[in-house]
Amino acid sequence: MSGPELEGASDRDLVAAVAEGSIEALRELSSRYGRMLTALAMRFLGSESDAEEVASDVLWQVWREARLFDASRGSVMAWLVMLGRSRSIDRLRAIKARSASAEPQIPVCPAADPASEVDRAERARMVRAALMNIDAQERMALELAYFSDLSHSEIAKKLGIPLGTAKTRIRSAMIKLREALLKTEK
Amino acid sequence: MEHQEIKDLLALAALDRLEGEEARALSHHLAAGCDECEAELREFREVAASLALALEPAGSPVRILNRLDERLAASAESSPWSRPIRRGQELVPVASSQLIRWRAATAIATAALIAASAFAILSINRAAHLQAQFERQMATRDAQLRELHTRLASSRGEIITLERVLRDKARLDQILMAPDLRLTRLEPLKPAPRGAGLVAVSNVNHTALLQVSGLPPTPSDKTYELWWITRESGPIKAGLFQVEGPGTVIAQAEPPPAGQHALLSAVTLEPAGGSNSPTGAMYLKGVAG
Repeated sequence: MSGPELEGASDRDLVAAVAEGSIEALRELSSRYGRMLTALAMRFLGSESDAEEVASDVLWQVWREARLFDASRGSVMAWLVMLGRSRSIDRLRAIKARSASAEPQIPVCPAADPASEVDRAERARMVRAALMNIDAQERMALELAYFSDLSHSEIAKKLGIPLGTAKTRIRSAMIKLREALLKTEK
Repeated sequence: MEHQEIKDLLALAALDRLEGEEARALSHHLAAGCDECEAELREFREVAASLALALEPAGSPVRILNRLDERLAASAESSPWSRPIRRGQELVPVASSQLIRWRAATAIATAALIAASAFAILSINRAAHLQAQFERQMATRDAQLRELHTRLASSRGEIITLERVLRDKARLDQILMAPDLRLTRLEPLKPAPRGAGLVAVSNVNHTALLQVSGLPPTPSDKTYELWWITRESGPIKAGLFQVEGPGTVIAQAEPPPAGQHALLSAVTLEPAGGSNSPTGAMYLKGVAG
């Protein structure tokens, strides 16, 4: 697969090419998702350098395990984000182990500025808009659940609400976000 | 746990936040083959992933690629061979064609590296050779320049000497043409047996010239001095001159003072700067004409 072909290739095609040993395809995936993975890891770790390390960890894992990717379980982006989140949590735990005083980052609402890449920027804008239409308490519960290493019990404690309420808020936010995204995609 | 109860867990499951009994129940439910829940869980996973997409991109793509390249480079030899291929449900070693392709790519990269290294070494050697050549040329140019400077200084000295000789010849010609010319021939004495001299005097031109040859070179702390021996005052200073080597020396001198009658003319060797009366050995002497 040549340069122009790589740029026009779907994420799945790129992963298939990586599975065949294409470093160029891996680089293209890095170009598409490296900064997103870094941003995700930064929400957990707060350090850009650590976050970039996590992003490269994820891409390295893709290089080694591309053949294990199962498209029937979800998109490439969802897979990458799952790997990135898992790696971030691992690293956060390692940092916590080194420094008992480390507190988990309290997430804030995503910034409203669109990214430069037109396609992803549009999708990002839609997600942000959808998030802003969700009740603030539910959104905070969702972001704590996603961008931290806290259990449901810990989230409930941090928000000062019963465990059942915390779960309900998280679930409700997920359902509202899914509906909003489905509407915008139609 | 009922189907609806499991469905209620899917949104939380997509965030990997299920624990204990809930996690086990969902796992069993999916393993039992509930396509509806499987599809919905997949949907929620995409929703969860979109949260990352909403973040402002961060980091440097170049740094991320560099970190990735470092890992690829570090594992270039081991990882591609050890990576398994998924064939159905079975993981098998990487195919031989891939191995060949990888090895070919590695061989090409190695060849390129060797070529680049060889080029670098050749370039360094070439640069060192040019540097040495340049230094040799500079040394030669320096030597040539020094020689030219020496020649120039020597030529300047010769020009000055020739100018002086021409000037003296012109004066001699002028005196020799004078109507009142008087010549005094100087004869050699014991310190300079091969010495000879001639003094030409013209009172009209108020000038005198001395021409000598065969005298030893003047010592550094000495000078030759010409004297007039007059009837009225005895020895009178007439002029100083130096002899630097073999050949003829012409020097300007003072004619005898007016009203004085020169009997003799003589050349002595005196301390540097000259004397008011002869103190040193006499080299030449003649009867004034």
